[in-house]
Amino acid sequence: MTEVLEPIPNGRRNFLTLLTTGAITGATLGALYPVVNYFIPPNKGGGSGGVFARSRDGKEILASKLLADEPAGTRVISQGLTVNSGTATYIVIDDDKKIANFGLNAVCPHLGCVVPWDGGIGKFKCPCHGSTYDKDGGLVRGPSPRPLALTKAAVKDDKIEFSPWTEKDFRKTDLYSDPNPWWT
Amino acid sequence: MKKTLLALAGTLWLTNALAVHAFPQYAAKYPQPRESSGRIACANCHLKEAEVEVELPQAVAPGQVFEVEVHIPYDVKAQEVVSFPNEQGEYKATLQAGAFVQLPKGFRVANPTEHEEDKKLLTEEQLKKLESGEWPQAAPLDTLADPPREQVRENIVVVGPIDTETMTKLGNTVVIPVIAPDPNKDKNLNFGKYSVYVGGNRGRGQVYPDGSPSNNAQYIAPAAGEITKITSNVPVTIGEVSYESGGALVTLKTDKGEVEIKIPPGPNLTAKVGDKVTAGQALTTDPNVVGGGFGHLEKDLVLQDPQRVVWLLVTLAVAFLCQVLLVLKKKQVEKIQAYEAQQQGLH
Repeated sequence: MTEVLEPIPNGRRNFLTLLTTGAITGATLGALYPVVNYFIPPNKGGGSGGVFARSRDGKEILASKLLADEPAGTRVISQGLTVNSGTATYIVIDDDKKIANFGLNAVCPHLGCVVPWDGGIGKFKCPCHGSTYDKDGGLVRGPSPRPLALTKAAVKDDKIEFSPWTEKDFRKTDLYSDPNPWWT
Repeated sequence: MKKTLLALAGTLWLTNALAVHAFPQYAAKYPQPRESSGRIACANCHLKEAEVEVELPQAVAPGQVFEVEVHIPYDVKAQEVVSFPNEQGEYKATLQAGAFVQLPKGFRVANPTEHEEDKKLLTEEQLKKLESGEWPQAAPLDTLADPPREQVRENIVVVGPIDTETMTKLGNTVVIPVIAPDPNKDKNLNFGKYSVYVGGNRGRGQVYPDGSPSNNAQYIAPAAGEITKITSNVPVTIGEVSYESGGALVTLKTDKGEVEIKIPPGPNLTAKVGDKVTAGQALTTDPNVVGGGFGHLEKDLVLQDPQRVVWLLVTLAVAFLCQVLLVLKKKQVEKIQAYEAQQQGLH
């Protein structure tokens, strides 16, 4: 064993360390990618398709039965599209006893309480902090910064179909009058 | 008018029933041909058990055409009892075979006569075999239903009856070309491992759909008693099938009076006049001994996403590269350690 060994310079040592750690980091990131994706909830439904309004117990609401049971000018809560991270949606029955072409998302834009309809004063009034909205969901009183979100509503085969609201916001109040929908 | 049509249909059905010996279409009467226990309905009437083998790929890609080979082993020259006499006046003929395959949801049989687009998917060889009849055409079970079903389940498939000549040519193997579905195009389908349920039969069954026994079954005494009279070589009608000659009438004297038992030609009478029999005792031999019977089988099939395989290969390559680099790094460290040891005079 008289062979004389050469020292390996630091530059070569670091270069191989870099290559090895780089490859292992790449492999680890590759293994983590599906794990991270797995924990992100799957996109339910997806696309711009509409959903049919359902009652509290998950049954589809029939428009003819609803109009027969409820008086004109009322707002009936149902399960509809997920807007503002909630599905509770009011079906608007207008004064002519017809289902209006828009539904109102019942989730309060302030902190997310479901806003009840007060038929007596003809307004929505949030029980949590007192935000008030008019009969079309326009903002009347704070602390909520924005009006209730809109969804499109249409009667199809006697069922009520909600789809995302893509047009301008038609409501104007003293507190809020931006025509661009805030929820898209 | 309606009655005449119905009568005509009845006659047609009967003639048809007499002309063939194995009936996948009988299974079409069942709304659920594979029972919840996993038993295929064929076994309700084909009472004897026999072997069946299946060959199919371990995994298939979406849109791929693959072959399911159902192997039904039996002696193609053997003769069994049939419901009508041959030229020699004997109730004997060679066995026929049939196959039942329940594929996973979305899979269907390639059928170039029904689906124009299948012509492009099948290879020339496969097309030729289908068109020349070398591969008996498989059909969705529901298309054989009477009355026709509203919705045809394309994934439940039957072939047959197949005669001896064809079966000899095929080497006892029925080939079914199947098209795999594409979960990327159909939201209701998913990639994954699914079960394929297969049944194979050869030979006649023991029970007709109306519940009456065929002449390929053993006949037993319905009650205890004494046989007082046997009239042989008479025409006999059992259920909807009439036998022109060779039947026997056995008169059994029981406690409650005399019973006449109809025995069709086929099973050999073993009982004699004067025999005392108990209820359920065999009066004839069992004619179903020539290797006829029905067999079940279950196999797995993976509907594989080609992208998943590509990424698996990439992962394996990266893992291999990491291993190589780790070993190289270790070799380098060993060299450094050897050098340092030499410097300290340890060698």
